[in-house]
Amino acid sequence: MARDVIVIGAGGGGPVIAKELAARGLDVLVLEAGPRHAQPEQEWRHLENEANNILTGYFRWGPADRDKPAWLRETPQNSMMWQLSGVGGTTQHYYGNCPRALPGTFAGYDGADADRYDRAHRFPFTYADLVPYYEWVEHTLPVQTAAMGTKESIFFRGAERMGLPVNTSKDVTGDSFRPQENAILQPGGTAGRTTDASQLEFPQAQGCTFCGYCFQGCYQPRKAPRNLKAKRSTDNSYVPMMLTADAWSRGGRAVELITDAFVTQIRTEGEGDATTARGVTWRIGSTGEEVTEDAQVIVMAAGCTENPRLWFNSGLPNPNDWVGRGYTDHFFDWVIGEFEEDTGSAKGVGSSARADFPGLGGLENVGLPPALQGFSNGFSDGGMAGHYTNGLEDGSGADTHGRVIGADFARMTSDVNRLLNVLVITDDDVEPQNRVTISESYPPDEHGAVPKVVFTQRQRSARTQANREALAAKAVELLRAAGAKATHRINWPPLVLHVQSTMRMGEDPADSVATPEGEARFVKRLFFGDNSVLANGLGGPNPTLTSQAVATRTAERIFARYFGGDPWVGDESPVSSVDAVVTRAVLDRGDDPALMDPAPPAAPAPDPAALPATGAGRLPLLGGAAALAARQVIRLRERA
Amino acid sequence: MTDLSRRQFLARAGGTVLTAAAIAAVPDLLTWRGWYDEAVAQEPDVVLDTFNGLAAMLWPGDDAYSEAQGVTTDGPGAIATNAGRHIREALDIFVPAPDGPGLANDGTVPLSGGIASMINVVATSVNPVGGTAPFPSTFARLSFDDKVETWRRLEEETRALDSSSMPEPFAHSSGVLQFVFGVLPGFVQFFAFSEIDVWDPAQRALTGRPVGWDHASYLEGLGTTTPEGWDEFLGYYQNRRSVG
Ligand SMILES: Cc1cc2nc3c(=O)[nH]c(=O)nc-3n(C[C@H](O)[C@H](O)[C@H](O)COP(=O)(O)OP(=O)(O)OC[C@H]3O[C@@H](n4cnc5c(N)ncnc54)[C@H](O)[C@@H]3O)c2cc1C
Ligand code: SF4
Repeated sequence: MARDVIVIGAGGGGPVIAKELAARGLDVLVLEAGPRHAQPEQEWRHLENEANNILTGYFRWGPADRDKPAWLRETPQNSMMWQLSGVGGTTQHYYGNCPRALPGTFAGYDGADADRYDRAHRFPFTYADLVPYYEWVEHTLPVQTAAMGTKESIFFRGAERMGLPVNTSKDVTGDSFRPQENAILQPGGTAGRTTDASQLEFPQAQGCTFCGYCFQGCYQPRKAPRNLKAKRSTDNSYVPMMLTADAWSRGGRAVELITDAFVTQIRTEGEGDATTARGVTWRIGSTGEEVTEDAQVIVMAAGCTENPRLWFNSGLPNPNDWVGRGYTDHFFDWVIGEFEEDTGSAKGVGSSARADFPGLGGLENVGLPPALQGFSNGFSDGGMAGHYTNGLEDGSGADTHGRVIGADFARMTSDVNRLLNVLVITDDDVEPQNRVTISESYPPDEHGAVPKVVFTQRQRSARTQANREALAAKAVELLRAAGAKATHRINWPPLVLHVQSTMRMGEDPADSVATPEGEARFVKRLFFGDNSVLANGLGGPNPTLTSQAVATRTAERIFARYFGGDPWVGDESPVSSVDAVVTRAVLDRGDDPALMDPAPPAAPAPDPAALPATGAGRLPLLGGAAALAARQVIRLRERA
Repeated sequence: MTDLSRRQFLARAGGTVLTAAAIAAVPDLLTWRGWYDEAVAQEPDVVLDTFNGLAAMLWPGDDAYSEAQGVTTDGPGAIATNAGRHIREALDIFVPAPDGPGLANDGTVPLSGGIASMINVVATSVNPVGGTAPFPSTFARLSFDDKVETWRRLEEETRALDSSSMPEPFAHSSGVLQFVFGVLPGFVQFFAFSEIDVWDPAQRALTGRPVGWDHASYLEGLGTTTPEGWDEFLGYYQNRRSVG
């Protein structure tokens, strides 16, 4: 008997589809190329090179065995890709920011500013269609309003002085600023209130401890069960849920997860319009063995770069030549402000404040520890400040443009907690020449031809370039208004980490790879479950929430179309990933044995009959989720 | 070296980076091998010296390389963090040695020699004499301004270079060089402020406090300990804990 569903990739999107379909009782296999960090408190460190070195760090695009070299991609331009292998994928790095997309990037939008967006590449359904799926994911992760630290208070001060209004809703309707809506559990107990490590263990501390190391993976608070770690990267949220779906959903079935399993082929039957996905072949990294399995439905969730690569290496059809095209990356830029006061830059969640400018994109504050701060300055397409510009103009009004070097750099970096960075997140157009193809220069690796990622940054559309320039100027204005004594515009080359739209869904079959249902146009029973299927760059908001909402919608479509089931979003309430029933299952399974202190409680297996049918009737968990969850864990442990 | 011959040189050198990966896999490319061998045969101390010269340019300190360029600062700079050595090591593991489908090998192709050679050739075109410091690398002997000019040429000329009509592996050399010269400064500034130089991989522990941490006033008073959290929570903006 073939499996029901095989999901390729356990990053930001794959575990969402897997969890939803497992909750319906389907037999789901998830294949992940990288490692599973099952014991993060032992495996991870708050050290920047150990974690983030793209060649040797425990977070990299490479195999589990760190003695082996990282996997190669050709990037024939000044640029850098920041995409990770491993369970949780790139969300292991992420900051958990979960803004919703701009309504203007969806079909049917007829607001007065409709022409300010990339109208040619809109989502093939309306914003209102997606809202129930947003709500479902926001409840599951859960998404909450970000707590504030010093660096946020400075950003807000700048935004207030610019005269921007505060946005107090989840939807963006005009220029405004706000605390992030993020997938970080709000601090409770001692978290955020002490620097004394002995006071910061769960359950005394709950939620975000303000450690400042989101980039290095979140294992805070120490001793919290995996599903109660502060940052809701999928390894802490959807993955624990998918692995325990039988425990929290009546009729659910736990997902099987295989790591160190690099999918190298998607096998199909038939030709032309009748091409149908049948199975996949993967290579086990540690042994080199090849394994093949069939499934009724296959979901590609290997990310924006590897999905096209796998498509090409599998010889799948590409009749409109749009596979891999239309890569959007928010064409980031970076402005550093120097302050005479403490900014708390290296403390707290990477970014908890934002400003949105519909039609242009947005700004975020970003705090960093010193090595990433150094990198963020040295990574430039704009030459060396005060010396040469590498052919680029700067209209932002910043004091300097390009990398700060020499004695100026030494002075600027003399106190990392007196800097405040603003990330420019451009609403960028879908353009066919920004794309993934197969490298002709580098030889294939053990997984076949390697991908080549092309961004022609200097030829981007006039709208993209103008949006970026306008936002860079706003970043400078905001920093100055907040009190910055000096501002430095770095003019980054593409830093490819907000990734979207290489297998885009679209209204027009001529320039899209996926149908509005998330199924491949040219191969039946093959779906996309990650950022690659997004129709565009969302108008600037960070992509993961939208990708998870679309993945939830796609899971419903898969269930209805190929398994005869009914949709559930809107009719049922979701179970939160911090719900006691999930915590109990995580503890029962000994999912992360090293994290259990005292010894794993021998709580009785939950009585399936007592469980709600996939969460129906469950009350929403709003603020205080972490505190509530902590009380539940204490009760569970006491019972043990 | 004229502008034109320098560009031709860069195109050829860029091919080196690509050939480095391609050579072992594609016998036809062995014709390029002469050039490749020449580039990687740079003396190891020249290679290290070149990246030390770069490190001192980006973050000068009170060391001999900074003195040689005529721009120093009080206290240690990137040289004290061994950033040049860490860059060399990173370049030497950047490109995995070729495998076939289903066939892995764990080797890498060293790039540091080829890249140092390009930097030094362009440095010679900026100032054929260089300074008087007793460094084997021309680049490391240059004044600060001449080093910056060298980097300008490396970045701007690789961008201006149109290699698309050249035969493989040179056809993509312009892009690969833009990548290499574009990202190296960022990597230097990353390594210099990270713990890489005082990390004991066997013990998975620090052997001392990184120089960059002291310079950046980072984790002052905490020694080699990294915090589990901070007393940094200021509440919620306008006391709003959730939005509609
Ligand atoms: C520093 C940083 C901060 C960020 N902050 C935010 C933020 O605040 N908010 C936000 O929305 N986004 C953020 N992002 C982006 C976010 O991480 C991505 O949007 C998200 O991870 C994308 O999910 P994905 O599933 O498309 O890809 P990924 O998360 O990259 O997952 C793809 C997975 O597939 C696996 N895979 C690839 N190929 C294969 C194969 N052939 N076989 C098997 N497995 C395979 C990979 O190993 C990986 O685990 C951030 C990113 C970075 C780097
Ligand atoms: S700052 Fe908060 S969310 Fe980020 S890693 Fe630390 S505890 Fe986790």
